[in-house]
Amino acid sequence: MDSQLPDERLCSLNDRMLCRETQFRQLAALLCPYQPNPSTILVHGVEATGKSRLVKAVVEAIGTPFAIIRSQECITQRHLLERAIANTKEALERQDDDTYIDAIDGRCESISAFVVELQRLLGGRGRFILVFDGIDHQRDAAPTLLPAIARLGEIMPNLAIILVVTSLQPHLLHKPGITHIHFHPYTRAETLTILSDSPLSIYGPRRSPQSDDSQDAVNDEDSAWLWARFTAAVWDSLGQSVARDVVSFREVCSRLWGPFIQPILDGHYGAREFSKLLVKNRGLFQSETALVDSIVPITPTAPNVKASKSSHTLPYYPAHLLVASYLASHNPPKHDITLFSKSSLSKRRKRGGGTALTPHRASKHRKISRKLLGPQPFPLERLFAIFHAILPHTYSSGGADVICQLATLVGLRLIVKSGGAGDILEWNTKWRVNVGWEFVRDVARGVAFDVESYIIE
Amino acid sequence: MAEHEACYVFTPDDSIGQAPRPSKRRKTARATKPNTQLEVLPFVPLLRGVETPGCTKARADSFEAAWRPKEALIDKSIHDANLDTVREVASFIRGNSAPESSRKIRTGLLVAGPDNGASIDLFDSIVESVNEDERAILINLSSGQCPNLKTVLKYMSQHATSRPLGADEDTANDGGKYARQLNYDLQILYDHVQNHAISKVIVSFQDSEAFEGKLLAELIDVFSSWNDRIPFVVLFSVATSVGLFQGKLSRATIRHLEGAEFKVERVSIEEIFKTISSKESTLWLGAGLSNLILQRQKDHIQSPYALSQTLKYAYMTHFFANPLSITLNDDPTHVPLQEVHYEAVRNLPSFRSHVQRLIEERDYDTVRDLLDDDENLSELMMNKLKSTRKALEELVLAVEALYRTQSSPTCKKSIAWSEMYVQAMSGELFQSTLFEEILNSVKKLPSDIMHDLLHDLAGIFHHEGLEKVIIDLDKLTSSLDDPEVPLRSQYDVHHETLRTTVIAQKVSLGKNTSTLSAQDAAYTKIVDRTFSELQKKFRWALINPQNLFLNEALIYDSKSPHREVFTPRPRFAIERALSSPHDYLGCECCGGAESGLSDTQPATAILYQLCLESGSVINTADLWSAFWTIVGTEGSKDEEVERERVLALFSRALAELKYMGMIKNSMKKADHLVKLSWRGL
Repeated sequence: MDSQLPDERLCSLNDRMLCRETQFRQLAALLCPYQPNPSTILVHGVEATGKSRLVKAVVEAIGTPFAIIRSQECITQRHLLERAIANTKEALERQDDDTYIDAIDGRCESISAFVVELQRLLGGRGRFILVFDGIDHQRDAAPTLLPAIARLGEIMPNLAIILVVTSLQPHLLHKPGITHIHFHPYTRAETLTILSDSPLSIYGPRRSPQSDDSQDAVNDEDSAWLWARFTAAVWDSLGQSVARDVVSFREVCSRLWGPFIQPILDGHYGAREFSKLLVKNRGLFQSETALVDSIVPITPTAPNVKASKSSHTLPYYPAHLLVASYLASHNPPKHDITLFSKSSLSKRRKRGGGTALTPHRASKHRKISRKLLGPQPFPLERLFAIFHAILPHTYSSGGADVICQLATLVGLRLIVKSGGAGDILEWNTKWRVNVGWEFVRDVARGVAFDVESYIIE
Repeated sequence: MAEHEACYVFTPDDSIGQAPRPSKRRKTARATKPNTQLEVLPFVPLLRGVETPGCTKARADSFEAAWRPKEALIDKSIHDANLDTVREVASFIRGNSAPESSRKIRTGLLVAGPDNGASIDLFDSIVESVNEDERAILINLSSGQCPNLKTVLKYMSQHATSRPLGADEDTANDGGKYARQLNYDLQILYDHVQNHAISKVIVSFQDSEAFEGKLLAELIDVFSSWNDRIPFVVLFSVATSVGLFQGKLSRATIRHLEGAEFKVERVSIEEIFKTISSKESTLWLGAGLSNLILQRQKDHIQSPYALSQTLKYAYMTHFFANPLSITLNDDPTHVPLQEVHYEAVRNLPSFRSHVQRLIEERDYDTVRDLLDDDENLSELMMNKLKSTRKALEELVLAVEALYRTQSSPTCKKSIAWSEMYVQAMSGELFQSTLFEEILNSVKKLPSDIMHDLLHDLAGIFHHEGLEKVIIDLDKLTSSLDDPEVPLRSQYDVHHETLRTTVIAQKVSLGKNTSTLSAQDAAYTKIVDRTFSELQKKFRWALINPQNLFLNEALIYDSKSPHREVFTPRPRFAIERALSSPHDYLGCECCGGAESGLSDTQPATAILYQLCLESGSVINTADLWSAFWTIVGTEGSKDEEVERERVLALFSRALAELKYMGMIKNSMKKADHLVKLSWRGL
């Protein structure tokens, strides 16, 4: 197979693509200009396994004109097809400057139009490779899109199609006999090899190019040594179970790296004292804060550090409205009278359930806790009734202020409309609360309202 | 054709058929200018329309003169409050992201609180600030204009490149070199960024919570795929909390984002209110209205913008509806008052009490002059207006001084400035326990704090007695051996010790004042003087503004316009109209029946009241028979016809109640209705 590689370019390329030799050789062999043109190749494998990168590198190296279309950027199917035509045209013009294809305007609303356009573009030319990257996640795609693209090679013998997909389903292409190249997830050793290719430095980026070269070299060596051990430790503790793919694993590593090497920067330990560092920082590997994705970077710390409480600043009445909606969502309507009637305060039993005298019969149906069932929908009248019931004082009814605040709460998606269709002004529109217990409890505490005593458990 | 007729016979009107075709309406002559007077005058003449246009215009002008500076002050304070945030966010946007995280989109989370009226201004000023150094464009997105991904992207491209909005759904633009582009293609934005060397494309989400989570995820996915070419920066304005907002996004989406959280400083309601009522006022808000406005801000909405609107409305109403507001115009060239104005002044309660006072003083001639001679009254008004205004200014200054005094460490109680203002405007502050407490706390101050306080107070208002006290205090402190140790008066707690004595097995606690040094005794004297001077000053300043002459023109305190405009009660109005229609109809027939049902009421109202009396499930037959007893006239000649008439009324009333969403047909029980809405919610 080696003999079929066109030149050394591919060999040097192989060194750059780590741990993907098999796939590389397969792809290179299939696309080799001396071989018959493969009509369709399916490249599949889970996320972050180097599919797109490898395919791009190979088609670039082979020398055949190509076009890559990323489905992620294409909003509709039409967008995808027109983008494909445009990219093809561009690639052909790049290949030989003298031919300028101007007869085609690129309008392409359906797959059949796409085929016609493509035939006009590629007819009577040499080989061409079209790469559809992530086409299984194409938005707004017709079910015929993939099978049709897979068959393009039958119509145009000079066209090779490479489909890059993440998940492989049976009958994806409705065409047997297509070459599949599988990109398996990286193993532990492979992941660590890839990561050790680009180690993070202990001492940060080099401050100045004039600084001592030998010192830098030592530092780099230390960093690489420590990085290799560190990544292995992260893999064993966190990575193998929850951050298997390279990208997220690298992210977790880079998040933990800072606090991990802090003792070295502080001068407590040397760069080569890995086991001491590991013992010192064992909290990092035990806690799961590094795994939590957050827009605002969280610095991972040892456990039992409480996150600061966020303040919920809702004014008095909106807060009560929100609490009322929570109560309406989480209490069954049949208990409303016991919970909220003001006349029978003495009769109200706080936690539901019976007294010691009421016989306990085993219920026929297994009871599921209401908290587990999630918020139930309620009509607006019930919300208003509960709102008036939980207010400690009488409040003038039917005002626009309350309705306005309700609209604000809905706008903030703290209360949402339950069920799909229908105008919100319809009588049968139901609503439910969209925030959890912790939030509501904080809000209720903010207005000094004892929400616990109004919840049936 | 009436609405209930499905079809009808068309009978053409003869007169129309034979009339010649109406001439086409064409614009032949230049349109006559609309009545200029209406254009110029936003206000209507008052005093039964007797007011001259000059006076009306003067009122409008004085409104402008009174409100514009206030508005500028409010805007400035809002702007100033945002300044730090703007600077912070701008530097965040300008800053380079770390190379390792370059694949992520830079994201700013602006925690702004539930009032999102301000966020657009905020974004605009952020971009302005960023644009000082580099080229950035801002694309504002709000949830209303973003139903789906395609629309958002189309809007973004159009907005960024400022192309005219295309009428066609998916018209392609011949923008690129090679290809036509669909108008939701971000390639357009990319080309624009390239051509104009734009370094930042800022996409701001005004009401981030209101966006659908799915749409946000898709949008961010697309952004991140273009992030290597288009330098996106995403700003979210978060109303609740970052945690709650992030909970809406999937982990995959969050992984595309990296950034920082910013707290948007809000200008407090208190501050705006203080600005409006303390600085160079021409109009003062009365106690009742101020209390109402502040209470609403506290309980319902917390928004500086809404407060500004409310205050503007108060100003506007005063100048719009009070003919005497013309007297507030300081302009020397102001229009002369009309006779009716003087007549109006003579009807004022404050004028009456003034006259009352004159009568008590047996100054009958002056009274006669005031009642008969407009000139005389005008003179009095000129003088009194000045003094009233001065008195009100002094009142606000006194509040300010008292507020300053309250901040001293020995005063335990503390209330907001606005609350103090409300009390002062209602004339209750001087007698209140709060006032006493604050003044008593002055007595306990050590000399160094007293020194600061007195200087502050002297800066606030001019008072001779107080200045003398300051001079004496300075003399005393300068003669001290150790200037570091402050003097303490005899009222200070440091001079009191608790003594326990056991007498006949009873413990008695006694307070004991230790003996004072000579300097402390001297200081105590000064403290006593300060106390009496302050009390004198406050007694003089904290008068009841209702007693001032012409306070009706200078103080605006009517609550009902505010209530009607800002807190209407639509639902209550409907319920009231249905349950007691007489309140709105004002007819004579139902006037007598205060609470009962009568056949003269509208059928819908009767049915509504019947529904109110019944439980949640209503039998239609029962309802009908009850309705029949009320509306139907027994013993009429043709009962069948009568029944049909009443049944028609009944059906219509039922349909109307259904239409209003008050009842519906029951699914469980045949011929039953279910009540959907309850009164008084």
